Amino acid sequence: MEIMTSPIRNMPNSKQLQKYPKDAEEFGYQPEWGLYTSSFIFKGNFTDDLKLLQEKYGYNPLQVTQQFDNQRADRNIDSIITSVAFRSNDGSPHNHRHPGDIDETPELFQYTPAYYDMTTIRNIIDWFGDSVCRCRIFRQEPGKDLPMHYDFDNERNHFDNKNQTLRVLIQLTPNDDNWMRFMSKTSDITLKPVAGQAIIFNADWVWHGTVNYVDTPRDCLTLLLKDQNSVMNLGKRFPSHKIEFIEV
Amino acid sequence: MNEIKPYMGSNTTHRVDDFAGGFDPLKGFYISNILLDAPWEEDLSNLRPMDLECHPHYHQHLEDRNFNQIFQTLSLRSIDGEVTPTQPPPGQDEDPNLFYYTDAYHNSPVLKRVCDWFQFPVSRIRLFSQQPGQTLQFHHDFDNERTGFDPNNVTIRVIMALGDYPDAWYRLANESVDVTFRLARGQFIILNTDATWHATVNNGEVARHTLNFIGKRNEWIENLVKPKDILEIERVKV
Repeated sequence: MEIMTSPIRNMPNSKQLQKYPKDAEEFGYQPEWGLYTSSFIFKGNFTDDLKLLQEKYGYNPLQVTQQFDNQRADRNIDSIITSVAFRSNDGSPHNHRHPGDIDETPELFQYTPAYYDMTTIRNIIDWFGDSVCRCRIFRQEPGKDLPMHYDFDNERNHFDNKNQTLRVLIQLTPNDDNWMRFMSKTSDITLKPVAGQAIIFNADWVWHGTVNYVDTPRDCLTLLLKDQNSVMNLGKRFPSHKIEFIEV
Repeated sequence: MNEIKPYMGSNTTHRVDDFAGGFDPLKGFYISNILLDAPWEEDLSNLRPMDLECHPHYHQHLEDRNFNQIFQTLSLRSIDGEVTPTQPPPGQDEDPNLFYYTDAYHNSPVLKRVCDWFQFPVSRIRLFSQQPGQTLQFHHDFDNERTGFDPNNVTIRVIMALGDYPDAWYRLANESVDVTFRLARGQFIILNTDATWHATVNNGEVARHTLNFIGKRNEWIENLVKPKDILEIERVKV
């Protein structure tokens, strides 16, 4: 009996034993259309940091560049998302905007006092190195849904696939009933992320939406990142299906 | 720019109907926004999963993965109508017409309703019980190898969680997506297991039970996975 080999990628057929990760090198996260949800989870006391942010800085409706006012109105963002910034273009924790119609690069942004006040959340931001651009907490208000949509981070760099701007989402509040959905070219994924788990994707291509069914806000650390090679390498750095905890 | 969707720039607004991607049964997977709910625990407690009896062609994989130490299984639909889990031989399509419901299906009224909720042609249905502390290494399966990877006769699997298992994780990787996640009780995955590397870990102290279906993609599946503008978690009483 002839056994065919998969036409999809170079995969062993049933006559051959499989060796992971060697036989799966062509697989894994690709930044343009892909999605990565981590097998590592940041562990720490986020509660004290979040309380301090609320008391000292407060959350303001998410600001967007004027160019995107149509998106803000269409998605009713003002009633869904409030924010405080750890890294912004003028160092203010209350400025969430990109400075203009140019590529998002780390040198455009500076840390805010809110970043320096953090004890654990700051360690997560630092873990991602020098390629962090804007960095904010997105607070999704109770009972609010953000519809399926995409964003325009890479419109600014004319979709240069060697210079992609990626988003990193890390929920910080315990997840009782918060969900996210991501739709890529091949897959459609609804999940309930664990607090401290990282989700990384190109927000121009991968459609995404969230729901918050609980009566408390969902606080989500949101980084814009300019380092697609290191993100592509995360699957190799953390190749196992076992869960690794990173104390911060 | 990718050919899959006409990019609508920031000067326009967009709706989910503008999206042409999503679950590709040849290459990808779907993790449901649907949670099925029914009191299936009593049915589950009456079932006694056992070792998989593997076709000799696949025996090396059974041993390589240490399968029977990790999983105990039981058939609700099988090629001979027996509860003993077996496989068709290599080269034989998972043709749903060749399979029969077992006593485990007929004697489990709630699980039967769950099985019947899925309206795609099904060949095998099995209960998989991943034992406490056991991990199944990354691997892929050979359902579509049986048909020579015929794109017009795609075999898919559905894996549905029968409980909330906070220490049980799945990792799926295809050509662009690498996701680690937990399933909620009643949530399910639809995937092409030939094209998707997959692994599971149960770090908990109890067995993690799933219902695993093997069957054929059809229009019902295509309609099921269609997204709406709002992400809504649909909790369906069965």
